[in-house]
Amino acid sequence: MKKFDLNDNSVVVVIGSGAGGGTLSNELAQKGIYVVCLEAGKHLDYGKDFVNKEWEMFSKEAWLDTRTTSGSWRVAKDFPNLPAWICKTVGGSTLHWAGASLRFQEHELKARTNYGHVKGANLLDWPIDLKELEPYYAKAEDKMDVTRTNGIPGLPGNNNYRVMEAGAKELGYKEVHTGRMAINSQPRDGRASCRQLGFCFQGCRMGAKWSTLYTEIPKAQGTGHFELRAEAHVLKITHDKTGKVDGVLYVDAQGQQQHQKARIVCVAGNSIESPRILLNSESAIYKEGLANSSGQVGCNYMRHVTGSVYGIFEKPVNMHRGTTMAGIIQDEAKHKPERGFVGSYEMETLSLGLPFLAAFLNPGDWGKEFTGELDEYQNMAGMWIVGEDMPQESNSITLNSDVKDQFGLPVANVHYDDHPNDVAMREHAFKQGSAVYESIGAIKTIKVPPYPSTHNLGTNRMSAKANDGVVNKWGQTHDINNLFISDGSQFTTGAAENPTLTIVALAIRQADYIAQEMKANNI
Amino acid sequence: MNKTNMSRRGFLKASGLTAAGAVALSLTGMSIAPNAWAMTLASIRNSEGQTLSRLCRVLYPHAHLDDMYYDACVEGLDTKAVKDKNLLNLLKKGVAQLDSTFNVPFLKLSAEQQLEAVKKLEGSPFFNSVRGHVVVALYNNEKIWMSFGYQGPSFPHGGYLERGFNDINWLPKN
Ligand SMILES: Cc1cc2nc3c(=O)[nH]c(=O)nc-3n(C[C@H](O)[C@H](O)[C@H](O)COP(=O)(O)OP(=O)(O)OC[C@H]3O[C@@H](n4cnc5c(N)ncnc54)[C@H](O)[C@@H]3O)c2cc1C
Ligand code: SF4
Repeated sequence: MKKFDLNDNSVVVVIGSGAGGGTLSNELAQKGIYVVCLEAGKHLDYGKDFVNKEWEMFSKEAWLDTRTTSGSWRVAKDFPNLPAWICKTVGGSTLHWAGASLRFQEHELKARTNYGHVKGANLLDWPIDLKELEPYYAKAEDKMDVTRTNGIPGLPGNNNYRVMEAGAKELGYKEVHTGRMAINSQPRDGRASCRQLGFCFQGCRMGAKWSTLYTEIPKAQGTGHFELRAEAHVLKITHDKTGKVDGVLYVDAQGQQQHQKARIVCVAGNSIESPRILLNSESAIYKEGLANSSGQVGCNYMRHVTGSVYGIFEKPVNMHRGTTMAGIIQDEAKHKPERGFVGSYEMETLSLGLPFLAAFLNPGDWGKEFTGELDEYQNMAGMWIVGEDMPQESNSITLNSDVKDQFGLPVANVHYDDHPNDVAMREHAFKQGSAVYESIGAIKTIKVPPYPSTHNLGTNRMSAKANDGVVNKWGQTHDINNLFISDGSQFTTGAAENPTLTIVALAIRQADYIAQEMKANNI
Repeated sequence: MNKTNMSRRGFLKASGLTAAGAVALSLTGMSIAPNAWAMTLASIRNSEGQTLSRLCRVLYPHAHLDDMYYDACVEGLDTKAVKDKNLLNLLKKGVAQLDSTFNVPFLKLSAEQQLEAVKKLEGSPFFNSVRGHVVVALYNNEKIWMSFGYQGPSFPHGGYLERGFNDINWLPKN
């Protein structure tokens, strides 16, 4: 396989191999551009390393390097060193992800215009609209084999879905189906179809669920233009005298520091590490960190309004059988301010195995009532709420210089306070979610607080004007034209939908732009 | 108890069966008599282990779970404490506190008093370390899963596609 010299300054260095970085790497390599992808995590083999066990896979895949938390969100109390549940592996969080792949709605890309001024929120319109994104959404759906697009049938509904669907219909909801999922309902792209294993969060042992680990990465390798370096942990991005970035400093698998030269650097470390890398790269010219003339690097951290509702029934459900996110109710995903909040939310089935349910049902809880609920495991159905949270400048990723990582660099502190709009939305969603289950006879419903963040967004946001955000409409930093952001930290606002389809669409679009600008010798 | 059981029990004891080992054997279908195993502890005393095991049950009571599952959690804690002096101290002091709440050993207290003694320690570092350990160790023990109706790994069985992923039959028809 292709290997590049550390001094080869013709390469594009991509940091991270998840949804954003993995996709961008492949798209660039397909165009004949040389790419080195630096990934902090290990390279697992889904056929050998994936097992159907929750904690075992969590310890193999999750990002467990120290982080700290602050703010009034409950995660800071329950999981002070685990603000986010995301991966450190080749393929990034596309190992853990459930596969829900929804397009943003037109009005969501113009949140400031459509929601108006919301006190305490730092709302802004995206500098792009749905029309510009549509062709890239179409490419992303095709690439990710998304069901209910490109003539691909939906997945069959499992027990957990059937309970939610029955309740939804009873309540009068209309838009209920088994979702648009990046999970093969029939063999496609050389990968098998889903056998309803029920361990989507642990890494799909069938390879039926799209993950860059076994799609984008091997495809990029096949071009001969791409090198993956696993266990390569990036410390800093370096720049030349003119202020352009010129390379990346990292620690390799042997623990040695290396410097890879680069023509262009693209950062896709997910929304906590990406701003952290920029901030840790401060220098004499860039005293506040790279690309931070706006002061917005790390700000506007979003994580979606989340929560779960579990319903306990008299008879068995067996929610653990089959796809984790097996279906969706979309009726509440409309902007209807008369509900008492702006923005909207989706309801998606979710099931956890017994080990995770015990840890996440009500973190910290114990005693008879709690174990009484766990005793009903077999009779439970579950759903997850995902809605648009408000960007707030004070919700942010900052460097915590009191705590250092294994390389001596300050760790990321994740600060989050719910906005009143977030609280109102969660309450509404809890009420509706409970009503879904109660309408078909649930004997009890349980409202579950947010898990550590699986969706991390907004910390290098896209803006039309340089002083409002970090990157332009192509994900190119306003300050340094050969430095790009290629993950969900570009998001100007979060919308109600799960983010990955949009991350992938933006990465495909960014690859086109980078190729064009390289050809024109602009970068 | 019949003779073969007796002798097996004798054998198990003689071979130094740990609680974790008993848990593993029970899965193979071997019936294990109560107290046929002994907690194997390297850092804490046996009596401390007994107290901690009861604490585990007070925290996460399930009538359908045998003591050996709680004992296995304590063995895990004990192993951690071998390398972690702070934890060892915490455990020893915590047990002493549980025993002194009513000036009667914790194990001798009524169920209500045990609960009260535990509540008094809620939020303390001792309580948090034990609770944090048990909530993972207990429910991650695959031997208890079936008694909750959780079926565990499915890939080895070909998933649920042909094994009831959509077999629910009591929903209202509409
Ligand atoms: C349990 C779970 C379920 C989910 N379900 C869904 C879903 O159904 N639908 C959906 O749309 N989204 C879902 N998501 C979210 C989805 O996984 C993410 O949105 C997506 O993977 C983010 O892509 P990314 O490229 O920004 O980051 P990631 O995919 O997280 O990749 C970032 C990579 O960068 C690497 N990295 C970070 N720092 C460094 C460094 N310093 N040096 C080198 N490498 C570094 C990391 O190791 C990681 O591999 C889910 C997430 C989880 C955890
Ligand atoms: S349910 Fe389907 S998608 Fe999920 S892990 Fe199993 S085979 Fe993969």
